[in-house]
Amino acid sequence: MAPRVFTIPASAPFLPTLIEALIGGKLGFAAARDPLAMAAATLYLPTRRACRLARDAFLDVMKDNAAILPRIVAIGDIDEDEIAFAEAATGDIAADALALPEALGGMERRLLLARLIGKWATSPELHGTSGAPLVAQTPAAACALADDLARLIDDMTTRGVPWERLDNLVPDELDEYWQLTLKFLQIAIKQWPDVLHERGAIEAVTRRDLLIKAEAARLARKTDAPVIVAGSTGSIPATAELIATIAQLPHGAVVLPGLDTDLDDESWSLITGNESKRIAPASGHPQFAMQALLTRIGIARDAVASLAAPRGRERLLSEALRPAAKTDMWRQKAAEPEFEAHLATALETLTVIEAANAEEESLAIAVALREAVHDGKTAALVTPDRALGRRVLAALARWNILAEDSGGDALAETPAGIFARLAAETALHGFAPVTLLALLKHPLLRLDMGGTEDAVAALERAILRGPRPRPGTRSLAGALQAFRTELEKFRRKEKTDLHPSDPRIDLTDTALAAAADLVKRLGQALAPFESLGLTRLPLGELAARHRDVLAALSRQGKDDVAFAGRDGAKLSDALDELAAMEAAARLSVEPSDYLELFSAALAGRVVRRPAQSGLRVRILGPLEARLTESDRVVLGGLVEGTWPPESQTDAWLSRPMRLNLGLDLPERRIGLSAHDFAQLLGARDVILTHAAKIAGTPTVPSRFIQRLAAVAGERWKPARARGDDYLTWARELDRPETITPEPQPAPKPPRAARPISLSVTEIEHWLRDPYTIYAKHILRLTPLDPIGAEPGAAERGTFIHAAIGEFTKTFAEKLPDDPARALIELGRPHFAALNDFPEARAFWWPRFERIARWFARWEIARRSGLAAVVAEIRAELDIPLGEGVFKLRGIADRIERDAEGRYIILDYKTGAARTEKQVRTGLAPQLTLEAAMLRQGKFKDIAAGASVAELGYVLLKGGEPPGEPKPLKFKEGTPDSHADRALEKLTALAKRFADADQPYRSLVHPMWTTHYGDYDHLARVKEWSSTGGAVDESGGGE
Amino acid sequence: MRAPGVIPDSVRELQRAVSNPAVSAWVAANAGSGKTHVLVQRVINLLLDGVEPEKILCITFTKAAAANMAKRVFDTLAEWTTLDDAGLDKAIRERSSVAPDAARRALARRLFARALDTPGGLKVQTIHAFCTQLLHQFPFEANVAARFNVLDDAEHTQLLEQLTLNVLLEGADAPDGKLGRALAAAMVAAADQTFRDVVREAIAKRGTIMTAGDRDTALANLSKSLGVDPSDDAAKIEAEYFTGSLIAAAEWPALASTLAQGNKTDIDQARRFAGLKAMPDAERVASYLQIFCTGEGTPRKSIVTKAIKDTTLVERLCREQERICALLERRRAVACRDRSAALLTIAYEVLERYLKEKERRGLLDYDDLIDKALALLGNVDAAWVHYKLDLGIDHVLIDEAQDTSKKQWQIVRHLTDEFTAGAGARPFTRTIFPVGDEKQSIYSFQNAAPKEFAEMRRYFERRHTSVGLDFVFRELKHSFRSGESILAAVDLVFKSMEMAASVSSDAGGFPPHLALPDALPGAAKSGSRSNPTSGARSKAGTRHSTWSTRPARG
Repeated sequence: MAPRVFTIPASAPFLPTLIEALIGGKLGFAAARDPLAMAAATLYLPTRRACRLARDAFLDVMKDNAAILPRIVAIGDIDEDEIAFAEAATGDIAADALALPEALGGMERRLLLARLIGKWATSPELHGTSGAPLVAQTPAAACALADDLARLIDDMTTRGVPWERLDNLVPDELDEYWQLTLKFLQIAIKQWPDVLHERGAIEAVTRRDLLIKAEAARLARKTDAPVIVAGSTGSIPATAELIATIAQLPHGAVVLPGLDTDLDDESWSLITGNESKRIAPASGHPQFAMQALLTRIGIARDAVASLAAPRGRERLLSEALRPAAKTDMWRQKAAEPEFEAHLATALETLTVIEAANAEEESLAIAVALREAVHDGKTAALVTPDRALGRRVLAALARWNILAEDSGGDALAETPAGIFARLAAETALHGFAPVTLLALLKHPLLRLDMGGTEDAVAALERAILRGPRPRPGTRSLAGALQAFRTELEKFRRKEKTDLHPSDPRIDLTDTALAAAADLVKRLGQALAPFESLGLTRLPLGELAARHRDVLAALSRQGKDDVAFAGRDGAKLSDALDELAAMEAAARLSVEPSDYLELFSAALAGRVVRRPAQSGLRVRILGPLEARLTESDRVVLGGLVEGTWPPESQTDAWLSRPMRLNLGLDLPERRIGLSAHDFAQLLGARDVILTHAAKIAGTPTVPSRFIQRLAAVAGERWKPARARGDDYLTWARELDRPETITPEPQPAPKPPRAARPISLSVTEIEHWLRDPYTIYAKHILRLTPLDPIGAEPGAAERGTFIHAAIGEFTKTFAEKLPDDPARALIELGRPHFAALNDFPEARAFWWPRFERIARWFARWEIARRSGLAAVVAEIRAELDIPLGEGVFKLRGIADRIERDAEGRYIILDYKTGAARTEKQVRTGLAPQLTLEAAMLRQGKFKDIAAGASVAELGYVLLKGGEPPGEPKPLKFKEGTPDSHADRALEKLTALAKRFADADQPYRSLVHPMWTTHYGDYDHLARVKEWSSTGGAVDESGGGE
Repeated sequence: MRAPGVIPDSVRELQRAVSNPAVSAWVAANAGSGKTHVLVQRVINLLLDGVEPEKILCITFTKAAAANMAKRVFDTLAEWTTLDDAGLDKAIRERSSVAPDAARRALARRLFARALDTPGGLKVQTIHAFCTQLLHQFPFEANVAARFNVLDDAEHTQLLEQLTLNVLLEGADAPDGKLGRALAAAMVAAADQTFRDVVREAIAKRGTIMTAGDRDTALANLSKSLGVDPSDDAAKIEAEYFTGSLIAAAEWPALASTLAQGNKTDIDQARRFAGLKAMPDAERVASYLQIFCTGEGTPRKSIVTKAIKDTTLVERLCREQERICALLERRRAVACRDRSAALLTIAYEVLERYLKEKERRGLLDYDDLIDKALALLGNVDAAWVHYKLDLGIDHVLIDEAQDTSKKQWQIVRHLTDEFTAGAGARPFTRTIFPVGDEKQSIYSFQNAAPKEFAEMRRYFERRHTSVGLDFVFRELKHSFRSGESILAAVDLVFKSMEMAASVSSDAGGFPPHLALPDALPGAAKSGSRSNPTSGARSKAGTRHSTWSTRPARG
């Protein structure tokens, strides 16, 4: 009897056609007439999803007729992650399955191999010529290599190639190099079988093949019941054997998915290649597997009957994807009127979207899906690119369109997965403030507190902004406590380094107490990790601890919310498996390597979303999309490397070597991908999309699209034009109707809101950038430090000023014996605040010591010529403004009286000093205004009418030299005259701003033409400044 | 780019001459003269000649350039699949000298799909991408970790920041340790931000730093190059100010009273001498220096005025000044050495951790890719590389060849030397085809070596002609992009021989640019405040070339 082989063209709905044919007796046996006979039948389908859909299709076809469905079994396919067949083994072959040894699970196998690789990697004789290890030393890298090795083992097993074949693979003269690789492969050849043997286990693929073979053997014995295998291309040899067996059964039938019946015979035969013509096998051809399958079954292509007439783009696809060696036929094909007519129809309902980037692509797809929903159709996005799927899902949310997303999410990217990573990264990798905050603000964090938000906000403000604190929860607690002590002092108006403008002084005791409680609980929760130090532990133990940490972090009453959701349950499973796994118990790792291993353990675990029925839009991977139907099908992410996937070779065997051994070429995956592509183009309404750039990197459009475009020729243009419509709509979505440029702000707050008192240092802001005064004193906005900032100059300035001020005050009359030492001692308590901020301390303390030594010498010399010196002395000056008064406040760093009774005002600068020109022209009036206050007798013990002999800065940077006096030597005028002018100018300024119509503009006299300070962003400077935001450092405005 | 209008026949002829796939060729191409065009042309001609696409390697400078070039190859080949015989014949004739026949036409029409199906993809890629692929295929032979990962710029920066921070923290925690002392000294020399920059710079130049050997050797070398005795330190030198003095401390009062007889300047000096005795040690040195040197540390033009008539004294003071200045010089050198040593200690520490971490985690940065690939090709039999590299590369094309670094040229040489080693060993020709323009070298900060361009041309020319192989050198002078005024401005800059020599090892300077007759008008504007010539000189060969018409690396 001839083997019974059928095909269903891509344009026919696969499962309904199959089931109708089965029931209608078209498959060569009348089994279906009798409901009981149907019950005896077995139907093999490639995936479990297909099995589910087949049951639905049966019900649709049978309508109200009572029926007992046949047994429907998933075979599993080469590129499916789970080997469904073995798991689905029931009934007769369950006994066979039970008799087989267990297969090793993915992670366990990976860890066992990784351990062998790790041993190999550290064995000294295998180091390279430079002594460098030939394999990365981390367990995670070993795992990655283990995956490659596992794949090679699977390939060799699947194709039944014995390892001995490797010995003579390479010509003798090159054997020296090949031996290097062979040495490594001994792990797979020698050591690995021993491990398997010792554990009484076999490879999963071996087990799969044995089961399939057992099934094939069983079927060959029992010949009375109908057996159908449908939708598989038989790309695994064992599957091919099963299919071949079924094809020969009296009641067996094989139904192929979209066998190409259009391709001419010569081209068809070239798919396997032709050695004499030097034509390599076309592994990348969509029919590569099926062609081999037909040969295996022993049937010619024309003996395969079609169960439906092709009504779609079959000929176009056959033509476009034909073997490269015969593509010179395109030209003559194009000339055939018949083909030309087919082309016209085939392209009529095809749309091509060429987006500029991935974001635009996803929005255009969403628009296309929304259109289908609007028209009452079903639609599916099929893409191997999960990121694209997620983007489209998010874009659909604009219109509240729900989509069934069968692809699921990688566990590592779910909330639970991210939470787990953050916890481990925080505790095992140095408590970087950004990571810590991400953990603290994660929605799964509970710490059994009944709301953590306020506590986290307070902690962030108090110690996590600015320089980073020392790692560890104990240091966090210490830093927080130190801050609270300072704040207490500030509130009691005692001496403290907290500046009144510090945004942290608003923090309430309640919030700070909550923050302290948070840190305490955090410490308890992270203890299983924090207590580790650098101790190596078995991976399993680390996983168990990780689980405890996550439970404690997410505890709310009796619940551990991190493990509650679908993702949480998967996470919990993953950790439990790792904790219980023997291989993990034997792998000892450093805590800092744990995170990468944990990530490796999560890789490949997917959290499926709950099935939602009745949704019109679905997002599918190419594998899940097999055998499904939708009114509109969007094929997204059609770029090289994604669709088709990259065809990577491993480090040991090149393509020719693989071919030589009889292994699959990497292009085999391209062939499978091409077959998916061709099948999906069977739908009537198809949209193909790709993006020119992804994450900023230019892409190459999928070869499938390029081939289609080449064959379509001029007809490709209308398809693209239709795609451009979607792009236009997508772009229009977010384009505002008009764009009004923001003008320079000119806020005019009422007079009552305007500040009536400012310090001398703020007058410069008022002159240069009044908006700063507006934002700071009227809007009362204070910038926060960035998180984990590098040590800045501001705090250093405070400490140094404070210490030196104290020194001068304490020793105003007489210097101590060792002034440098005294100053350093005075600085110590101030810098103690930095004990929990080691980086900041590392930068500043050595400089302070240098400053102290320099200052001591300078002070000794300085004092000899002075009559008196005072430090940190306050003054206030009222400026009458018609109706009210403006109060100028100031604290002079240092005022000296010389032998002639004249005064010198000095300002310590830890940053840059102002230039003589800036002071003389009045744009930097701090010192001149202090002088004005002095002349008015506003400083204690200094009578009005005194003269100022000198103004100047003392630079205290701690570099080389540590300090430097910078007296202001005016080109014209005297300190007295400049003081008077500064006061006049301020009076005019204060009067001007007393008028409610005077706006607080931005950038009036900035140091740079396009920016000034902290509030530029708020003033939207980049939107209205002349250069459109480009930074110009040329230094105008002076 | 605007579609070119009238293309002079001479230009077409030139383009055809360098497109002959059977002969290695070298092209010096002015900006906008159609570099990409000749490269694409060459790739197509190779394919048309029957070369298998996997045997062609085309190295571009950026990923964007690679994508652009691949697209242009595919676009042309796709068009050929649809042309009728006459159209195809015309297209073939325009490009190559082969006479189209039925077989050639069939081949031409198959090229599109054949190129698309190239196993592993058509090799139009950056040198880093090529090296990555190469090393992945030869991890053991290349001494790199199997399954290594490439550190991109962002990850590289992040890793360095992390390691720098760790080193700083350790230094701060143990102020008396090696790191702690270095840190305290280094802090002095640099502000917070510059400090990190210095460390970053040191790591970028690690090749130079590490070749010095270990840290101690490097420090010894540093002392040597500064002319400092390694045992010299600040205290020792400062002591010498007085121990070796030509003017004994006992003389100070007498000297002071002599000088006090002079005019105002002398009286100031007198006061300084008089004050020395009572001063604390640290002050005394500074004060003594002030007698002989200005505030900037340069020798005073005169120590005393003409009012002092004691010539013996004046002469002694002058000799003392010489001695003091020499000491000051040494003192500065020691200070410089100490600061450099401190920074070097920290940079070394970071560097060592960086190398260790990379090794442990199996990471390669961009420099490693080049170094390791070069070492692989140098150490391993070329036959093995070609055998395993899917059986070899026969044709190498290089875009922006002026930005190829010395090491990258060495890689190219390793790949191609065999081409000319035993000519005739292979039944068909293997070729190279670099295209570049020294004037457009803008990647000196990535070790671009524009001078190598002409150097290598001579090297390859010698190698080819010595075994009787043809070698074509052509200059493309016409610009399709810019008007006469712009081209004239560029010519003006490079007319200076000094300017030309800064980027080219050819003695003759550069041929002028030629504009097309229908070129658009343009205007040249100097991009810096200084005059155009010096502005351009300081910038040619650097990142911010005023004249560059090229996009930055994508």
